[in-house]
Amino acid sequence: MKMRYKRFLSVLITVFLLSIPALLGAQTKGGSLIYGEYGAPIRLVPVLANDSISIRLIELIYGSLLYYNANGEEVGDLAEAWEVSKDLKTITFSLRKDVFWHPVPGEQGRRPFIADDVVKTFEIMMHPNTLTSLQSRYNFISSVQKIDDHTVVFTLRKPVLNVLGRFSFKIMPAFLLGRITSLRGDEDLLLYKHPVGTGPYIFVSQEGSSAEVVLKANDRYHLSSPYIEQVIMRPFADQNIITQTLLYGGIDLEVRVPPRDISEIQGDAQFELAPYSTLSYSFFGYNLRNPVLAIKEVRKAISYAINRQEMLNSFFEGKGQLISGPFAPGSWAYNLDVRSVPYSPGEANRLLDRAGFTERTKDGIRTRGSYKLQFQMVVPISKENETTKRVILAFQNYLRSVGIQIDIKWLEWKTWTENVFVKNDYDIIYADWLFDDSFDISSLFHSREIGPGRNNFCAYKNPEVDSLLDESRSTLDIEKKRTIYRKLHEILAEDVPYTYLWTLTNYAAYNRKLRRVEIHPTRFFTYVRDWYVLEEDQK
Amino acid sequence: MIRFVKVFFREALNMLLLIIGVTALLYLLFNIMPGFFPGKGEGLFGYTQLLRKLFTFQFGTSIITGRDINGIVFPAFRNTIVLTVGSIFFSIVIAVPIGIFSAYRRFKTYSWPLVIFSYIMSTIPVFYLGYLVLYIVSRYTGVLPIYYPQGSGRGNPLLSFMLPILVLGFGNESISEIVRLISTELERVMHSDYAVASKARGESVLWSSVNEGIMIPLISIVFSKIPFIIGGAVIVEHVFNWPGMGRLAFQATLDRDLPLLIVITFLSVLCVRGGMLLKELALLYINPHEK
Repeated sequence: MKMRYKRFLSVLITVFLLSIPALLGAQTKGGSLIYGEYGAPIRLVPVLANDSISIRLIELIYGSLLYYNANGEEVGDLAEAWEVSKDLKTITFSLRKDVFWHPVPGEQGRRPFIADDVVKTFEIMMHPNTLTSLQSRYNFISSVQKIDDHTVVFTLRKPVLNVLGRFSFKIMPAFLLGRITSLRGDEDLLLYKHPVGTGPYIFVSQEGSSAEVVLKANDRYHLSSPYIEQVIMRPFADQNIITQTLLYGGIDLEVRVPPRDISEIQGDAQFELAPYSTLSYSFFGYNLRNPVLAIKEVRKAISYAINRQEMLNSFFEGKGQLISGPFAPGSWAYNLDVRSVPYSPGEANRLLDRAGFTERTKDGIRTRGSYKLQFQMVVPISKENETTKRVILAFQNYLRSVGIQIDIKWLEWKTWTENVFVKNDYDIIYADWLFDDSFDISSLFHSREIGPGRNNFCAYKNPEVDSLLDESRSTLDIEKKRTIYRKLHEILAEDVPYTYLWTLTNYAAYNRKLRRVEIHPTRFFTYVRDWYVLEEDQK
Repeated sequence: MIRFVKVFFREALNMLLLIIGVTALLYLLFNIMPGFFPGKGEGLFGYTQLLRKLFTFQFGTSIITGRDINGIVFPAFRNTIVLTVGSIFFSIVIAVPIGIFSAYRRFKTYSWPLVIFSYIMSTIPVFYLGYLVLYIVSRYTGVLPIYYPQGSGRGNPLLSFMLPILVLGFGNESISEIVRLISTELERVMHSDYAVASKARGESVLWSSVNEGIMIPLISIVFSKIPFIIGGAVIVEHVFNWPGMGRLAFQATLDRDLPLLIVITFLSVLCVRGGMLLKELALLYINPHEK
């Protein structure tokens, strides 16, 4: 009864909040939204895309069976209704009958969305030859079957917690895929050049060299149709001028504001800053195959030797939060009782002494017999290499003062992934993990996941962790899972396979002429159809 | 006429050899590097396939983005040509009068500030000059003059179009070189015996000297600057968001889009060697008797 009361209250509050903009000004259709990105989209194909710029655009163009609303509940998009069987092994989706694909160039009329599209998309996604990072996420599904044009059934290998949340993958049109069974990216497909989806916005054009993408509102959208008439994605080659362009009205929305520009926008009443956190964190990861790094004291000493708060403050303007373990803070899995390691060079020195590294070379590097505290750090040359560089150099300096030498090797991205994940040719890395809502860390720390191309690149092995991870995978009880995760958090903080650093808060900035802006943490534009521009601001 | 044809074929042969050399090197390099492009690892056959693609200008599709390379690269190529040619033109327009002015003796005391100015402009790196100009212009006009493609125009299109050209024209280091060259050459010609003699006859020396003394070095210096100007264009394109080849090459490198990178390199070689060819022909045209 209490629950129901609460829900009623929240509905009331929502209604009230929704009516505020109506009081402030009329919501009318029209206007345009130009947003700026650092870099160009790589691939506007749902199954293949794994860069965030493409993912954001795909969110505008394509639809999925379900999506999460702002309260974290599943809502139907292409699915009208769904039913999970009693044994939790089959899920039946009834598809909406009023959904149409965007117009295809050179074709009259619009094709209806049917069950074949879901089946085809899923089969392509799971085909072993398809180049996608999504397969491990959907391995639990054994098959998908079309019952009739508007019903599909997914059969699961085993019950999974929060299973409905997984059905937010984007659906592609089967009639444009033809006989193709897998996607590698080199096929000659119309879909690669001209995305056709069911989402709120229709792809219009992508200008050749500037890669500017123009979208227009879908006039036959099956959910409430979007207010803003036109959306334009403008790529920037230089991060320094995106914020300036926003401030001078060249764009209306900046997806990710560089930390040092935040104060400039904050001081301007014409613009709004919207924080969103992405369920990710940064860390230093160690290669435990190196006999010196296999010593726990050494890893711990490194954690003590670096001043993480200072790095966060000076390189990211303090826009973030220090973490103590392997989960993204803000998730239900995070254990707040574990304290993050404080900065203490004294403690670091004590630990290194205790580990036997008492002698020093001429340059002040600690040694023990033939072992020397000298490690190679491999770093990918990424787009944001400016702050990365500063973090790495600070890291090098901190360790220098306790007698550890770090050699830095910059690698191009693909070589880096190969070195770290396949050849395991590295000592320390600086990287991030980005999580989905399941917070499954078994691929990161389970000993089964050691090996070329696997995510446990540290070669971390702990039987207790293994059994806890197995237990957590088999349970469906969220409370039990939380207890297990809290325990895991504790062990993994103590064992330091990583030095956990921080999670950053991202900021989007937008012109106040955009109203009712709400941002999805990873997909960004999920709620875009509610955004609108006041009539007097539409030019 | 025969000399023209001869020079043309000699240069064309040079160009062909260079292209074969560069593409062979690229093919080798990209075979060693991780990443994929059609024809990789197929040895000589793969290489000939690549050459056929390049020489027929049918570049195929990019394996990373799945988009048609011809449709991406030619608009970018056009934009870069507009930027570089415009900036060369601008450099000449600025530098030649300063050079002549400073060579012409009567104005020596007045011309040195201009010469100093041209040196200062040439020593400011393009990326710095770009930001500086962006800052000043946006500060005083209230618009940010970066490139806006058609269809989403906001701000002042003419300003956005002209500013990058002006910045590259000023910052490509050729102004000071042209000024120095013209003033020394002109002075030499104007003090030569025949110039003194014609001056004694009361004829105007300046314009005939300009014609005889500086055209040839001017042409050689301008065309030899082309590779550097293209290099500067990469930076200007970056700062002003100008959708040209430099930006494209940078993005392609980050995305590891090897097929696109090969095409971009090919077109740049074509551009640079094409400039050399034009230079030879122009020199021949001005002075048909010189060997």
